[in-house]
Parts: sequence; structure tokens; C-alpha cells
Amino acid sequence: MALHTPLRFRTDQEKYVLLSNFHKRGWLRSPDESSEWNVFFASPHSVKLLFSAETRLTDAQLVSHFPNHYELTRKDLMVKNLKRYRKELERLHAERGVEPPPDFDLIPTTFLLPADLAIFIEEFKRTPSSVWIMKPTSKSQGKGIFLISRLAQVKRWASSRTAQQLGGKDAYVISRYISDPLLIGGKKFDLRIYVLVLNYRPLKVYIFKKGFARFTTINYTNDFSEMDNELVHLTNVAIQKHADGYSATHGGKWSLKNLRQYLEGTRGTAAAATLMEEIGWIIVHSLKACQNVIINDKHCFECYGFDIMIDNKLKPWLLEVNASPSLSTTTASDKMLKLQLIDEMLDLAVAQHFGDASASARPATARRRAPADAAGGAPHFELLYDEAVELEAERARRDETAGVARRKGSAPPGRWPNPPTRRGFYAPHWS
Amino acid sequence: MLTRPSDRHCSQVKRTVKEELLKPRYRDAAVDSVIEEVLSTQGLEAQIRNSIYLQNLHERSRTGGACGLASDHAADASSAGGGGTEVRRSSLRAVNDELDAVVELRLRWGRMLLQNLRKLCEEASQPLMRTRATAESEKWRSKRMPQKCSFLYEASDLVDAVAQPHSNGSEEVRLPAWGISPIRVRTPTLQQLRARFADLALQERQTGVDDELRGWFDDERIEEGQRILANGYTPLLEKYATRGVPSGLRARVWLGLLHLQLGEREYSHFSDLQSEVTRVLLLTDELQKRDAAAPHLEDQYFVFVAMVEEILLCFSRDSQVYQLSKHPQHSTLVARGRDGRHVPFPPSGVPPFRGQSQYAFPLCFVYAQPQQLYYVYRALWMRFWSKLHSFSSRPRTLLTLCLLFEELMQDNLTDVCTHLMHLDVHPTAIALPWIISGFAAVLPADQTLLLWDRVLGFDALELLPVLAVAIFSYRTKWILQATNAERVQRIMSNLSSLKVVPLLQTFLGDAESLTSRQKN
Ligand SMILES: Nc1ncnc2c1ncn2[C@@H]1O[C@H](COP(=O)(O)OP(=O)(O)O)[C@@H](O)[C@H]1O
Ligand SMILES: [Mg+2]
Repeated sequence: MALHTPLRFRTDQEKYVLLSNFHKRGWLRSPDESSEWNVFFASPHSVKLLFSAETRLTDAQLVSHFPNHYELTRKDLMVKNLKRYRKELERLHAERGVEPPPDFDLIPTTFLLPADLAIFIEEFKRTPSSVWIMKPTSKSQGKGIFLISRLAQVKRWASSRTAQQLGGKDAYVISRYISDPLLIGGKKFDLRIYVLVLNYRPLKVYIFKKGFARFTTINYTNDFSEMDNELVHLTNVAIQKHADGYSATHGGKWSLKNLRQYLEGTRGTAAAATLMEEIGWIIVHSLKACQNVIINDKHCFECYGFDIMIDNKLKPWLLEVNASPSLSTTTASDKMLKLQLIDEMLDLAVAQHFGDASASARPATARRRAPADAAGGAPHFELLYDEAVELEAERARRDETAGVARRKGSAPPGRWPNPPTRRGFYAPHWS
Repeated sequence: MLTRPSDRHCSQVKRTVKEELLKPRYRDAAVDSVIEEVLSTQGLEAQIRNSIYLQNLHERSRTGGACGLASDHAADASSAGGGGTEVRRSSLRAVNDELDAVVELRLRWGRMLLQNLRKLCEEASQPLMRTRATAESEKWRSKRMPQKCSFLYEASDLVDAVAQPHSNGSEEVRLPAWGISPIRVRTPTLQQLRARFADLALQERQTGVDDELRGWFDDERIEEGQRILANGYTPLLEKYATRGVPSGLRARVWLGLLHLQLGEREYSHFSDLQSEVTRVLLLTDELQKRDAAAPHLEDQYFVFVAMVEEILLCFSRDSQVYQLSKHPQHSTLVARGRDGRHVPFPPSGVPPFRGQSQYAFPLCFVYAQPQQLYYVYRALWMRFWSKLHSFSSRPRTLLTLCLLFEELMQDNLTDVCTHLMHLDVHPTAIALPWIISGFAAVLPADQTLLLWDRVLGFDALELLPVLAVAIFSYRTKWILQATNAERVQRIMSNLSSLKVVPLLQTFLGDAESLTSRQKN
């Protein structure tokens, strides 16, 4: 399989924002079953088939998922990996005899069901008045989610299922419900933030600056009588779009820029900046938590949709990571945003993986920007974390303390955070 | 008499000092020294100085001439505070010293409002006011107001009213010849404006430009702002705001600029209004809801629709607005109550109009708390926006601002005016709606707020027509290239990408070269 000019693409998703971007680049579509492709924009399902068939990808091939991305994007596995990561960090701290990690709750307290049922019951009894949220591990769009406030509800749920159901696909996670969400105009919202990973080891992460908040259509309340009302508690567009109050002109979506402006005005510039930085940390840490279990196939890149909620004290919480965030478009500006997302993502991924070769592999008409140069050609992506630079900086620091005065620049400063080392706890790659 | 905020300050200060004196730790100290200490430690010094400042403004506005460039905000300053007691119930608030043209305009406008209100009553087949209980017992009546019901007025009606020919006037009154402004009074020249808005000169660093270019400038401004807030002296705050307020400090700075100290009394008044919203239904409620539900920039404002709706409904029920407004030259509709007494309708005395919500939406990016949002909205209406709905020959009201716009256009953008007249497009018809909305109808929130910073800081509505002219000036090239009216409309219809501060700076800074160029 060679690098064609123009490139050959394959996809199993007939989405306008994809096809128009391929078309714009002059790429040619290869048939569905063909293996003659350079870029495969695939659904998680196709990726599974692709990698289980033991096909060997060539250096002229690039696919839009990592083989076992589900380590991050399945709700139960993400929780497992985060818990393990946390233990590792704590151990490192203990070894070095330094202060334990500061507040490190990336996700609300979560248990796997039925596996952790006993521990959950213990935890529940400790705070009997709190509300919990049950989520199926591998569904999306708010499907199968419900809230519970009494232990009996969980027990009843567990006993109503056969062991087989509970084992495989029907497993659930149960998380502490964030019952003091930040409300704007009386409504609950969560954030959808797009993150592009080009490489896991060393980790290289970009963040798309044009994320958005997704609002519910009706006002939030902690009232028990509304506990079953999805429109109050779940912010998924898939759910809200069926509500009476749903508007197709704005789609309940508010740009991250608006959110930031609102927070600066009502909570102060510093608080808004800290929040954004915290969100950056959540992303970096959750990726680092999976860094060593993900198969770092060099023919892969991946764009994740992070779901993040902010509570009333402006603390951000990670809810889940989506492997294939929706590419359907609801409004005019949504369409613009997603066209831009795919456009710049393709530029970054292709430049990184095919390097200069890709430039010559593009038809002259499509060669609009200088490739290869980090986020230079992708103005709406920002380099969030580049572990290679970070390692280099760390080495320089160590040399310096060893008496060798040699300084290397670290990651570029920006609104988003620099490497985790600044945070006061140690990242695993140090050991 | 209404209590002036300065009086309120004084009694507050006295009370605090007395309370302190009673504390056991001062038992053996000399009274004078205690007073001194208390004043300095409790931050009362600034309060006293502010009272004196307000008092002086107040005196000056009573004795001084109202024309020219002098500020007349003192008269309003007292209305910013809490509730008053006296009801000034003269529907004849029109002062007699008005020009004929203005008197006629007011009469005509009042008649139109009344007509529209009657029509609304008929179409909706509802009384002006009824309790919710009554409304709910009238089950046979549809609760929804028919879609066709229209607002009492909107910005374009104001423009039409201004433009309507004056019945007994001769054409000579109309200067400049192409203008629609029916009155002729002295307006500040560009030179005077430049002197007054010197803080907007190109060489002065500004929040709204320089903070984006240089991070350190923003930090510096924030630090300076915090210092001034800690001091709390109003003139310093005003001076500070003329160069723009960093978004993180705006909430507090504006409360200071508007002399708002929200306490028990204000909170309870607001919650009374909230219960009034549930208790009585006004004929115009549905219209106000409709206004709030369709913000101009929906993508940006939709999350605030419910908040703004509540603000508008409370506002129309707030009779303090009527009592505290010293000289609303905007028309007030008067209804006869059941006991035969005349009362304004709605109780605020402000006839609801389409676009009323525009003054509230940008504020939602500053105040999350409904009480603060409400009082700032109310204070801004009373001090500034109400004047954009008032027919008068006083400075800083609709007609004089309209005239200022036309004269600045005439003097500085003569070629643009001529070209537009050829294409049968009237610049005032384009610009006046912008001005009436305080530009909130056309600019995104951040730019609107940066503009309002200056309006508050300079205490100058004149900045609105100045900005309008600056926009025409900025788009001169495209306007001159346009060959038909639609093209011009298109060029001037999208202002969402404009940056307010550089526009003002360039126009006010460039003025000299601009005029001299045109003279040659
Ligand atoms: N712990 C929680 N606290 C509060 N709300 C939550 C919590 N977890 C999920 N939600 C709400 O439920 C929605 C769906 O949850 P999510 O984990 O994203 O599952 P899905 O895969 O179905 O989208 C979220 O967008 C959020 O609005
Ligand atoms: Mg989700």
C-alpha cells in the first residue's frame, strides 16, 4: 500500500463534515472493502474488525482510532485506569517522602456494578442522603441512565438482572451525582471539548479551542419529584432535542468563549482562568492514566469528545470520554465548528504521520497551508501537552541541579496548562 | 421629599460611628480620637467624600444651566438608591419651556401610544391589569395572547416620529438640510468632543484594545482597579472607567458608578416585585415575554431568556421607577384605577416597547444574581436609556443626540452623506436604532459592555452618536462604492465584528486630519 497522489480515503460514516473535507482536499474515495487506502476515518466498530483481522498497516496508512481506545472511552475501563493511576501517583509520593498529591478527584466517586456492589453499599451508608447516577458502561446519548437515592433501588436493580446480563454488555457504573452543578440562567449544562491525540508514548495532545456547553431546556431542580425527569438531569443533545423548549436555531449550545466571558464577568478573571487550566489538567491526566495500556500503534490518531461538568464551586469533573463524538450538525454554527474541527484535525494528523511526504502527496490545489508545523496550520487547535518536550525539559532541570547549566525551553505558555510537573505531584514517567 | 443618597450615606455613617462608640473597648478613650479611628478603619472616609461629591453635583444641577457640556447626572444620582416616598403624580410633567416642535411631537407620540394600547386591549380582549386569581377563573378566555398583537412601539416608530414633518414649522428649522431632526440647538463640535473625551485619544492605553495586545496591561489595569475600588471614591472610579473596565472588575465598578448600595431594603423591594409578578397579570406581560424570548444575538443570549423575562416583568411593576424619575420626558400612559385615582400604566410609567430586553441581555454577562442585575438595569434605564425615549430639547436626549449625529456626519463625512442621499438612503434611519439600543441591538456583549464602560465613565450618551459616525467613517470606502440602497443596507447591517474602542479612538483622534483634509 503506497502513498497515493492524491490520497485515498475510506470511511464508513456518510457525514457531510467528513466528506466535504475529503472532497476539498481532492482525495479519492476507495471502495468499502478495499485495503487500498491512506486515511481511514472509521467507526469504533470498523476499527475493531480492522485490528482483529491482523492486517498489517503500512506506513502510508492512517486510521482514526487506536486499537484499544476503549481503555479510555468505556465508562468502566476509564474508571479502572484512573483509579490505578491515582494509586501509582500516591505510591510515588510516598517513595519520595513528599506531600501526598493535592486534591486529585478527576471524576465523581464511581463504582462498577455489580463488581463493586459491596464497597458501594458501604460508601452509600456513609452518606445516606446523597444521590447517585447509574450509567450503562457502553451505551451513549444518555441511554439507560437513571438517578437513585435509596439503597433499595440498587439492590432491586441488581436482583432483577441475570448474572449473565450483569457480566457483559449490561454492566453499569454508579457515580456520585453532582447535585450542585453550576447553573446559568437556572439551567444545567455540561461541556463538550474535543481533544486530538497523535501519539500516546510520548504523549502528544491538542485541544480544540472551540468547545461548547450543552444546556438543558428546562430549569434545574434537586426536587425528588423530578428525579426521573431526563430533561432536568441529562444534558445530551440526543435527549434535549425532543423537548418542547428545544430550539433548532441555537440547539442549546453555547460557545466556550461565551462561557469564559460569563465566568470572567461574574466570578472574576482569575477564577475563569483557573477553571480552564483545571480542565486542561483533567484531560492530560486522564490520557496519562491510559498511556501505558493503550497500544501506541503509529498508524493511529484519535479525536475524543470529553464530557466535563462544572459544579457550583467552579470545580470541573470528568464524566466520560467519547471515542466518536457526534459529527451530526444541529445548527449553522455547529456545522461551521465541526467542519473546522475535521479540517484542522486532518491537517495535523496527516502532517504528523506522513510528514513531508504528505505534502507532495497532496494535489497542488489542496496545498494551502504549511504542513508539519505544530498548530501553526491549525489555528483552532492548541498544543496542550507534548511529553517529548516535557521530558527534555525535565532532563535539563536535572542536569542543572547536577551543576550543568544547560537550559532548554519547555512547552510554550498558553491559556492551557503546561506539563503536569508544575502541579506539585509526580507523573509516572519520572521514575 | 425624596431622600438623597447623600443623606442616606450621612445617617449610615452616623449610625456606624455611634455603634462603635458604644463598644466596650472604647470605654475609656476620648470621643474625638475614637471617631477619627472609626472613620479611617471602617472605610467611612470614602463614603463621606462620596456624599459630598454627590451633594455638590446635586447643587450644581439645581442652579447651573442644563445646556452645554455640563453633566446632568446629579439629578439622577439620587434616583439610583432605594425607595422614595413621595409620588409625583403630574401627568403634565412636560415642562413649559419646551420648543413648539417638541411639544407637538410629544402630544402626537402620546396619542399614538394611547391608540396602540387601546388596540391592544381590544385585540387581546383583556383588561390592563387583573389578578392571577381572576384570570384563572375566566377559563373560557384563552390565556395566550393572539400572535398578531403588536408592541406599543419599537425603535423604528421613534425614528418615524422624529422624521414626521412638523405641522406649522417652516423648512428653515431643519438644519442640516438633509437631516430629520426637528429641532435646532447647540451641539458640541468635534473639537469639543475631542477635548472632553481626551482619555480616548490614540496615545492612551485602553482596556478593550491594549489588554488583548499585551497581557501585562490587563494585569496593571486590574491592580489599579482594585486599588480604586478599595478606596471607593466615585470620581476616581469614573476616571478609571473612561479607559474601560476589565471584565473581572466590571460588576463592582459599575455598582459604584451607579451609586448602588444594595441592602435589606432593596432586596425586599425586589422580592415584593417578584410576588407582584405572580399576583397580577398586566396586559403587556405577554409582549414583554415575547421580547425577551427573541434576543438579537440568539446564540449568545439564549441562556439568559428566563432571567431577562423576569427582570422586565418586575420592572414594569416597579412604581419606584415612576416616583424616582425626575424628568422622564418619555410619555407615560395613565389609567384610572378602580377608586377613580389616576395611576400610570404600567406602574413603572415606562410603556413597554419592543427591544426593551436589549438593555438587559449584555448585563447578564456581568451579574449572575437577579437582584444586582435588576438594580443595575433599572439604574441604567433611569440615568441613560430613558433619555433615548424622551422627546426634549435638553442635551443627551433623543432629539439632541439625533441632531449631534447629523451634524457630525454633515461636517465630517459630507461625501458619504451626499452619496447616501443620492441612493435614497437616510443615514439617520440606519443609525438612530443603533443609538436607541445603546448599540446592544447590533454589537456582541463584550463590545457593548466596553462601550457602556465609557458611557458610564464619561457620563456621556454623546458617545453613542459619535460611535455611529465612527462606523460610517470606517465603512466610507464601501459605502462610496455601493450603487444601490440594498448594498448599503447590507454593508451597514452586520456590525458584529467591529471593535468599539479602536473605532472611537481613530475617529476622535483622526478628526483634525479628517476635517482639514476635507477643507482642502
Ligand atoms: N455524575 C454526574 N452528575 C451529574 N450529572 C451527570 C453525571 N454523570 C452524567 N451526568 C449527566 O448525564 C449525561 C450523560 O452522561 P454520560 O456519562 O455522558 O453518558 P452518555 O454516554 O450517555 O452520554 C451527562 O451529559 C450529564 O448531563
Ligand atoms: Mg456523554
